[in-house]
Amino acid sequence: MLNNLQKILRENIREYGMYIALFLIMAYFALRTQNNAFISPRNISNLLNQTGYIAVLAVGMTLIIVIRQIDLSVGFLAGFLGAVAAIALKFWGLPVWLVIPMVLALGAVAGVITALPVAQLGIPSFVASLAGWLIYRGALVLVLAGSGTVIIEDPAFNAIGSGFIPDLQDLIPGLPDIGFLPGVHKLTLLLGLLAIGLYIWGEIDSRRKKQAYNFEILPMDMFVLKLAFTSALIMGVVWVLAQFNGLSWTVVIVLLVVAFYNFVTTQTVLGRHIYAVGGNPEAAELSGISVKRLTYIVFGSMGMLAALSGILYSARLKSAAPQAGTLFELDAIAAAYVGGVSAAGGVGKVIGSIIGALVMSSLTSGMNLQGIDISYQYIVKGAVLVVAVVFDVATRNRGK
Amino acid sequence: MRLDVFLRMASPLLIAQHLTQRFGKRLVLDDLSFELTPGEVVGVVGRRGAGKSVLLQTLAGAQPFSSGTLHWRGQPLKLRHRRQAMRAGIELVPQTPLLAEHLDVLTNIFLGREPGWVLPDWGRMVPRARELLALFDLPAALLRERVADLSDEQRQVVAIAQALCVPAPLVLLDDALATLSFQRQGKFLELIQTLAHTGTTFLIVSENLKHLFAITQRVWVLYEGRLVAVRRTAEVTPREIVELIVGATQQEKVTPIIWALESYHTAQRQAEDLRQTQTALRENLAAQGSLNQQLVQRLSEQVVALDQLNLALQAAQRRLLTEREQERKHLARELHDQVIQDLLSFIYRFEELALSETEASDDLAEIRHGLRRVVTDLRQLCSDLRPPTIDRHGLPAALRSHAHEWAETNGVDLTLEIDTHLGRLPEATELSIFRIVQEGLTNIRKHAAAQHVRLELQRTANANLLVRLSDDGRGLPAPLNLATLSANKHFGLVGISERIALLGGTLKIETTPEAGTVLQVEIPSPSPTL
Repeated sequence: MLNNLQKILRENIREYGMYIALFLIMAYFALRTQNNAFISPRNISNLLNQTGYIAVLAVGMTLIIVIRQIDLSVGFLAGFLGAVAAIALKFWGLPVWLVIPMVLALGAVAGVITALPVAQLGIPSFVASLAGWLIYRGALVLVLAGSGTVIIEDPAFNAIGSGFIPDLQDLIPGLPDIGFLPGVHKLTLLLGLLAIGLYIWGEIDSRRKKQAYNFEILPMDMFVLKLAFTSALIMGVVWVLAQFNGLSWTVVIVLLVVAFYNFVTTQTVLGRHIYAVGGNPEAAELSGISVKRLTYIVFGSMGMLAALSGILYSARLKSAAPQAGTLFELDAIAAAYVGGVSAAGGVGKVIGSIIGALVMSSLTSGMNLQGIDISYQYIVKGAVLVVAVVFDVATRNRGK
Repeated sequence: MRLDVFLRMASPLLIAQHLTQRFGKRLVLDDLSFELTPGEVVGVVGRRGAGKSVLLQTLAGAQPFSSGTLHWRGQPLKLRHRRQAMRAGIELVPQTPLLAEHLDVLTNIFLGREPGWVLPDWGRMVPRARELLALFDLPAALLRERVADLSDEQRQVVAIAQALCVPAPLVLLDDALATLSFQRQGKFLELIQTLAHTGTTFLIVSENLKHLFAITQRVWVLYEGRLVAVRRTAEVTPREIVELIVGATQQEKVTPIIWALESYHTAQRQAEDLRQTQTALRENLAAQGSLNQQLVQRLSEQVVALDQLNLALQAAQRRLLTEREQERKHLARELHDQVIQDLLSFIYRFEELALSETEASDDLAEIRHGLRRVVTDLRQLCSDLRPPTIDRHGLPAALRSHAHEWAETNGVDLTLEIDTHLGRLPEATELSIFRIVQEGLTNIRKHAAAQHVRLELQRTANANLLVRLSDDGRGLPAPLNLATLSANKHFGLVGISERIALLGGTLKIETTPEAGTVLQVEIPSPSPTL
């Protein structure tokens, strides 16, 4: 069994490398911070909420890099659309249920506009999105020129960035308090169990399908080990969160986005076409895949996720400021690279980028708790990025 | 044939009129008009740059054409994208396979052709892909391999499988057979014919006229972008086709090309044969390797057995020698104790007789003297058989006594030098050395006519025993050959060398004509601590 484990780890080092890295970083900070403050429920909850707006950008950026493009405009696009949302709520008096879809749609349109010169004229996306970076930065300053920082007072909107899901008692007023696990967020625990159930069911289902087609599958002991390990991990995180305020709305949204994009990229025809375009655009074109159409789709989704990021950020700060969105794009790109997305295109997973984002924000959070100077923090993060990219290149020809 | 199939096959599948393709200012396809009917297999030939690949790319929608019209089953067909051609059912296998490197074979085969809209229908894809790979003798396990890890031939099969995975009325093959092995080429040609019978049209670009003549009904000849000739395959010879390709009918231009094409195909065939031979050879070689190993193994076993046999033989010989010595000792004792005593008693009785009777005393005295001589001879014989001194006093004493006796009998000056610290040696060694010296001295007496003889016996620095017998006689006439000596029944030196070999020693003979011989024997010390 140990041999099996070693073999699988060796063959899939590319895939599991960042999980191991994340685990090591978290373990290090857990041991090195005072009172293990790093893994306290409050800090973990905070960490996840903080990662949220970068994580959604990283998801979109993954697909952008997979199709061999880059989008630098998303940081200020997020800031700009966050400001638009704030203004729409405060000055135009629009209801929150209208503002959010509207901002998301605006984001998608902005993404398509960025893609326009790239897809139609073959202009490098670096240049096209750099223009977007300047334009959205200007637009952000412009819309806030009259008012300065806009304070958002809509509680429903702010909950997206800093609220938590209600517990069972709040949802069902008649529910008697049975005194079971006082102070623990029961709905979070229930959702965790549900997630584990779904995960196990999905894995078994896909294993059965592979078996039916005589494809290679993990040996049974490894399969059970993987299920047990992942379930324990999910339960561990859920348990920690349940001890604080439970799941935040940010985490719920990020999880939904990740689940959706993971499904699209790994299961659907569209996902296959995205990776095919990244792997060899000419081959994809010859197979009847429209690279242009996919460029629009991927940039459009990126724009929409930038809008979501802007909403999450402004809701978290309960305000829209002219500096919002500064350097978000670079954080997202770094997260994607750390998460195993290949700079050469065609390779990279959505889940990996989320892990990459978690690695980066764990480093920030841990070093902040240790009181390390911000200058050293940048240097450490830069070094981690280099190591991740070197690892990617070194294992490129081995992994699948 | 069913009526609908018949009708479908009767009407043209594709009609092109004035099809023209320009790259910039260059005219690549010049006003092409043609028809393709269902189930037809058409070959396209032409020189490099004649526009064959461009024609296929254009018909596949990969290159939008500049002017002209296309009609597909009677309807106008626009080809601005590859997708429009694919929707109509036009598949293309390009000259070099273009595949998504990071994705697996299954995904690549169905890329852009996936059954199912959002989710691919694995239940349909996997069996079909298996079937296609099996047609080309490739294992189903290949489906999950990354395309980047495949061989060129396997990639070509994947590209062909792409074109065949969903039924298409028109398949364009741009030199798709070249990278395939000879067997797979044959299989693919058969497959093309089978599919053509069910109504699939093939347009095949190939430089291999044999392939084209084997399966096509018509051959189109392109020359600098123009369709210069359309010929029914049955009514044309390869020579005419080559003439059309080259655009000339002169013997001196066409013949070398035909010859080159012929030899190219022969060479290809031979290369394939060679590859197979190579594989067979490699297998043979592996088998041979293991056979060789077995032989070496057996040989070394036999060598070991021989060595053991040799040792046994030496032991037996040693035992034989010892037994011979024992026998001699026994014989000497018998002679001494029995024969000599008997003779002596006869002599005494003769003496008594001589005292009593006087008449025959002279005769008796003569007999008595004769008997005494016999006794002396017998004593000498006993001593030769078994030197008595060696048993009692050891080798040096025996040597000294023998040498002294020898020198006196032969009147030769003999210098003796024996290491005083020699001590006693094992009986066999002592006897052997004695016999060697005895034999050597006998040889000197017989052949050397020497004035001075010198015998040395000493220990060397590395504790070996060194026996050196030198004389100043005639020397040996020719290089010694033990075999010749043995054949001529001169056993002296042969015996010496045998004894030395049994003791594990070395024999060296140095000789100069008219200046003497040196016989040097070195024997490893049986007790090196001494």
